[in-house]
Amino acid sequence: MATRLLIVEDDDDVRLTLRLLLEDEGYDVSEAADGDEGLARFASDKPALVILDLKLPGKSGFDVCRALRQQSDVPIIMVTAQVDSFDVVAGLEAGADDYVTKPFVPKELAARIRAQLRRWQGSLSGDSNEFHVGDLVIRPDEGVVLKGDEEVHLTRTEFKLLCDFAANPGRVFSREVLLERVWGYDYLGDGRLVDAHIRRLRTKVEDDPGSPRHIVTVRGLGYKLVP
Amino acid sequence: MNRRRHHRLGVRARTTVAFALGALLLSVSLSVLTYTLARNYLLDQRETLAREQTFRNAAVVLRDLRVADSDPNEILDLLPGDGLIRFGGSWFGDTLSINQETMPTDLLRLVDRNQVAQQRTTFGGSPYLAVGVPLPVVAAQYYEVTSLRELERTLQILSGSLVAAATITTVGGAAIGLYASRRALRPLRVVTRAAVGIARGRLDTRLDSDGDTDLEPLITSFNEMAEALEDRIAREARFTSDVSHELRTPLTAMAAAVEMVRARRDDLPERSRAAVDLLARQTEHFERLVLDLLEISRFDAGVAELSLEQVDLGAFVTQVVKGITGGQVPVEGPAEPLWARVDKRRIERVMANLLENAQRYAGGATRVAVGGDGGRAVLAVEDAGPGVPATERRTIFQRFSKGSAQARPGMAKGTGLGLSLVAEHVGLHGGKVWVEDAPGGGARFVVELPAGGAP
Repeated sequence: MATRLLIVEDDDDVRLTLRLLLEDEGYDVSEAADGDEGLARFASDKPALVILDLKLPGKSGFDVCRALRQQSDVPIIMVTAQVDSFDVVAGLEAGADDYVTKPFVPKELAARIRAQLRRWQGSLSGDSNEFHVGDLVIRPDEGVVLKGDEEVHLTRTEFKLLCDFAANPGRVFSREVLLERVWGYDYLGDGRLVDAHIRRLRTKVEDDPGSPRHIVTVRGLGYKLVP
Repeated sequence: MNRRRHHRLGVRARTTVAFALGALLLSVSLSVLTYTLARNYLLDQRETLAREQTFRNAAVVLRDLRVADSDPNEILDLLPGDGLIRFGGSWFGDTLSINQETMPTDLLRLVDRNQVAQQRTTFGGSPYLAVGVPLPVVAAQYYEVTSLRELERTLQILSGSLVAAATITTVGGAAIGLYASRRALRPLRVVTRAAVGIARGRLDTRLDSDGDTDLEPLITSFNEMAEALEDRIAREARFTSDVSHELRTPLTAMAAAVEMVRARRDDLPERSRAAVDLLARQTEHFERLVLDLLEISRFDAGVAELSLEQVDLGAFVTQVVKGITGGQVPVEGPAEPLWARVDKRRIERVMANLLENAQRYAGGATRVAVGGDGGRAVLAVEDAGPGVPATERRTIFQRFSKGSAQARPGMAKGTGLGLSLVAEHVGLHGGKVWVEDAPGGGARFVVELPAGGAP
């Protein structure tokens, strides 16, 4: 069965071209013209990924994004009109995993979708497919992270980030490297993607996200994991 | 001219100088007055004393000379002070400090005319007061000198103290001026800081009222101005954002649809294929035009924001150029990483536009060089085309400027905005761009950016 994607976009023509485009890529597509319909479709169609326009009539894209995040770790790619606007940062804070700007190159969108759907493939060291970081237990194969005895709910992107760090403790990852490994970007990735996701990851796995002990910033260089 | 020169000094310097000059003027005139009054009074007193003593002594000389056969030298020995008697054509009383040579000729002449006279003079470098009294009854004259050295020393001390006082007053005046102007200018400094904040983009900067009624109107109108500015910029930003969205949405549908048809190009009949190609070309051109115009409008609305990251420019530009040209243009990067804080998207646009420009007018870039020293990075794009005439080297960076260069046959029409956007992007970084002759002929576009910092 083909992977199912959900498009939430109010413009009929854009929605239509997106559907045609994605069907060409071999995906099964369901559509919604506004936020409420989008949430309903999400519940009924259970898509593997959501493409979400930020400017929607009624319920805004940010609200839809937050509502989706409360119930699911589904990858969300937001569609925005401007690169250097506040929208991008706000969308990432609301829980989006990646973004494309209008007008997007179809190939670019396809690449972003593929990168989001790809499961984490780290270089697992030896037989161990379980990492321990402080009081965290990370099981990449099961997609499970435990903090103490409680399971931590991470989005796919956050999970990929954490696994990359955990598999290479002490290694400093620059933003560029993380963009390439986690998001599949080449040289033009947006560093804000990394920063926003690191911030969100910290709020979930650090005892005090304000002064993180495990995912620490190496000024000017990037981030690294301290076990 | 003079006015302008005055204004080169800051308010603080001017206030300080004015206070210092005022203090100087006041203290100098007071000192001069004090000195003059003191000097006249002291001199007057000294002269009166000297005169009185001379008269007393002259009376003694007169009395003694009336006695026959008296020796003037003996008379002088008994007198206090340095006296000199002219009697019977001879001078008596030649001492170390006084003799007839000491007496000024004017004084002698007056005494010869039977007048009491006095005159200040110097002898052996010291000031003296000489007083002469005619004694016609015995056909003699009595002279006496009084040293004024003590008085002179007193006056010297006085003038020294006065000069010191004037200096202290002047310096004090300057200090008060500096302090007063600093205090008076404090609100101005606060306003300046706020204005700088707004200019740097912190549009929510406001001034706090400190209850000073003199400053209240300034604070109120400054805050109103800042409010209006913030509103206006927010409106502009919203408008460009709305326009952007409204234009980009149909473009997205169009471009994607054309792309899909083009992917099926081979299934189409010959004539439709030509039509699809045309549609694709025009859509692409239209898309570029709209995107460039939106970009320009964001600059004009003042809402273009830099999203800065610390980047190794050598590596980054190499990747960008490789991505755009598919590795056809050699890039010469520096051996060491060249760090700079740049907006990667904008630098990518700069390189893309310069490379496209070279492609369109000069048959493609021949070489891209990245270098830098100290606080700057230099990116250069060279071509082997006809170069840019000196008269057009500035104007080609203006919007829709039509240079004399002809696009190469087969090249799509440009938007006319590419180089002006390059200039805007570079300017936003605080850098500059210009064009010069490439070493081997052709044009060389040079972008200079501020660089530096740790990785």
